[in-house]
Amino acid sequence: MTSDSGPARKIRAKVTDNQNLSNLSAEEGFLWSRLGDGLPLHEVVLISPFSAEETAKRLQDLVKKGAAEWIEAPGEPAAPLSEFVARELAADEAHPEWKTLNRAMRIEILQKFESIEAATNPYEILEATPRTSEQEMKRLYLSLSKRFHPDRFFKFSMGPYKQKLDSIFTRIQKAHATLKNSHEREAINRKLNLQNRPKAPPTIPKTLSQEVQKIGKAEHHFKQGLEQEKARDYMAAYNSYVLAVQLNANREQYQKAMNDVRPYMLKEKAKQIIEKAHVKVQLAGSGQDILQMAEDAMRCDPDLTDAQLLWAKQIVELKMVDKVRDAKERLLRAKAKLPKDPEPRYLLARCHLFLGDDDAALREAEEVLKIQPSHGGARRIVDKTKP
Amino acid sequence: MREIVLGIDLGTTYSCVAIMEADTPRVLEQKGGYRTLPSVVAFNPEGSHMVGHIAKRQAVTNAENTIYCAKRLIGRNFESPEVQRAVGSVPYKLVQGPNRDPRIQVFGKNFPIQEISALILKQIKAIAEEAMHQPVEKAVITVPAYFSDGQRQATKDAGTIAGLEVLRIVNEPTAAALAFGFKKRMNKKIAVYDLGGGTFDISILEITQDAFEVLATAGNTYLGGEDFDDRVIQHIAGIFQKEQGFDLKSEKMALQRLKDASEAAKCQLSTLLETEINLPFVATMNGESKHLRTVLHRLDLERLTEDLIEETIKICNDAIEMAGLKTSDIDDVILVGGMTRMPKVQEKVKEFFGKVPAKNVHPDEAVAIGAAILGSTLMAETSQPLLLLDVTPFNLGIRTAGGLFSTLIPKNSTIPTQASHIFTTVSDNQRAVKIQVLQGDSHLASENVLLGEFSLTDIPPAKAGEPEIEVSFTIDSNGIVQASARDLKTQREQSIVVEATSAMSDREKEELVQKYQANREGLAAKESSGL
Repeated sequence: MTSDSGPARKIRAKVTDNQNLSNLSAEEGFLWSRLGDGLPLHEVVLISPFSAEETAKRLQDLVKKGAAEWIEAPGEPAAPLSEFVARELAADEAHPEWKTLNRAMRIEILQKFESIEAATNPYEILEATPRTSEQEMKRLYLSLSKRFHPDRFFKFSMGPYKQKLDSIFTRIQKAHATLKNSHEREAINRKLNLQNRPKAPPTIPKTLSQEVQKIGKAEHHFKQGLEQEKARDYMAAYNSYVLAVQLNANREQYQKAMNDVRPYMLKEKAKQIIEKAHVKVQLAGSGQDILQMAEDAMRCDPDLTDAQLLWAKQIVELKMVDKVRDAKERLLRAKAKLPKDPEPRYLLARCHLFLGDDDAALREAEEVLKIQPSHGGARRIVDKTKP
Repeated sequence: MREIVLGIDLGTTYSCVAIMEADTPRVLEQKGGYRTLPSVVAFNPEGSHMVGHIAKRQAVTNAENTIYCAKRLIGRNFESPEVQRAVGSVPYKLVQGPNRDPRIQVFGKNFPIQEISALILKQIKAIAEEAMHQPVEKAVITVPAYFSDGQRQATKDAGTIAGLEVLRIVNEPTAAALAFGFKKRMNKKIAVYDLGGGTFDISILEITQDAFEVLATAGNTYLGGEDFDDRVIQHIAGIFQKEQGFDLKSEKMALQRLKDASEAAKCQLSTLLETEINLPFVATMNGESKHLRTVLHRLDLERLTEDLIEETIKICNDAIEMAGLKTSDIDDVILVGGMTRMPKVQEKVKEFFGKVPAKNVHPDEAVAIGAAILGSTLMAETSQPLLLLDVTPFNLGIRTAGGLFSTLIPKNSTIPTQASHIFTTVSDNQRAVKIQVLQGDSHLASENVLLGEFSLTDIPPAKAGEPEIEVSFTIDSNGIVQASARDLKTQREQSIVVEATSAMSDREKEELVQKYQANREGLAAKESSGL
């Protein structure tokens, strides 16, 4: 087992001279800012924007650089096992068939089981207090659910631990369901004789560090956005800036970067949609979904001729008579932009046909044939409309 | 050789199978490149059967021995309104089985519905084995979120009969949500609108990084594409009756042709504004051939099915309310199921939620992909990369004095979950207590679905009211209910006997498992050639 596994150990930020901090990367700095007094690895993973493996690796780098250290979680493995836990573990010795579950896991389950059995209110089950904020409660709930979800032990033969685990999981769910409901939470707070205290203000250091974390995280996203913009990945950059703005609305710099990159992002997006639509066209020809895609693309970039052409084509193919006039307008513009392309002219000819203007259709179709004499569709129109 | 877990979307009209390959989901194709398999089984007089496209294609000439929509019957009681409705509308024959379950009669032999579903699953297993060039044993199978305990149990049994180890029965909208959000590291509230061939589900989920929490689920297991088809069939048959004076529904082959044409027309109207239905020589009257030729407009279809779509929106509203949210809280709406291709459905969903549904989810494949994702995480070597918190769709409770229903586990509770109730006796030296376990929304026991009758037996003789027997009800991660009992005074396990359920008896299940295991070697070659 590596030093970072198991809930028994926690990693804590080490505050030394500032020199150590300046050589941290943005990602490391972000993780560092969140460690505080110590978190077990699985909780760091839960709050980290990186994958589990990446998070573990970065934490190791932090330890190497002297910016963090592993500590034994106070009182857990160091403290002697309770009478109940020791008795249950001893009883297991008679049942080697349960041993697929390792000792650390069994201790984890037994300790939680014991503490839940002793709990007198839902807060204790969730390892929270009446003052824990809603957001923090959610984090605790998800973290506990993950540790004690039967799926985590899916591959093990559990023996009597199955029943204990089911009971733990059910109690966690019920505690959360109760506290999620503000009326029930208030009722419990009253019962706990706390009605005179302010309702669940987050503890002061928690608020502070959360604010600091937000600012750090915003800066991290902003820097990421700058790099993405440099690499011309405008969509990713835009997303990064949006995240930065959401986390820290006070920095005009973020807002400006976001607004500046937005038109580029939209142009890119429109192109992507059209690319996808063209793939669909090859597969399916025409259809409502392609029409929708063309509309989406035009919304992103009203000047994209490709999108206008594709849209008009769908209107013609799907015979959506009520929109033919609109299609004609767009095709006239496309024709002006692409004078050498037969496609807008041909579609225009078909629009004229719909609108009953055979003369105009004939004129356009003849133009098409001038550009591309082998155009079968235009030939048919000419044959049909020639007096 | 790596162990493979199949993700199987066992649909009412079509099924789909996917696997995870190095962290990437992949839908397995059949010969001919099909990515979905019609959930159709057909028998012929020699006693052999066929499954899938080949069975669907021969339906016109063999309607009464071609079984489709088995999913609408599975795990239901023969007397339930849904089964009774089917009795009047399907071309094959339905009879009552020994456990009050419906059975399908073909050539004088009665097949339990589980066996029909098992034949489809066996075909899916064969497809996977052929695609992967290795045997496959494990699977995650999806069911509508609104399936009851009995329907889930029956689906699981079908998997077992097909020779699969069913790791999990998972809800279809939940699976689709996994396909949408797995490893995308998002924090979102989403709605999954799943309108398939036979059923409708709506689930509201909150995704927090790798945690998927179902907040509420609602649905109707008898509302889907089949009902849309049915409206078209009734409409066309009505026109034909008026014009030609002939009832197409009275003749099995004509009805089957009309059914195929109606389904095709409905699908075409998703992209076209009008389509022609053309069935030459559809009937013969007084020696004269009759032809059916009519045009169906998109507006006709929309008018015929308006109330069905409205019904789904009403259920969406219920689900949002149960989740304690407003539609504006929803970040993304996902459409699953073939029926969501209908423009009117998309329009209504967009109107209700006030946003354009997400486009990056494949309506036919997302469910199977989600099941494959779940299967691979369950078997993962390292710690769980996924936290899935699903819910039970019904209140679970017992019948109490006066025929009332007392809820023990309320609907939308996170599963697995458990609850217990203490029972006692009402007369001196009473040796047994009977308990009825039910699922449903009504406060009257008789209006809910009976899951089973348990008997607590061998109660030690005592005065009335003295024994205290605690019965624990568990809903496992599959949504399947189990019960156990314990005498609180002696702390002894109390024996519990399950009676009177529509579930298949263990003996019959075992016999069917044996039947298909014994047949496996002999039939394997023959069946795969009939693909």
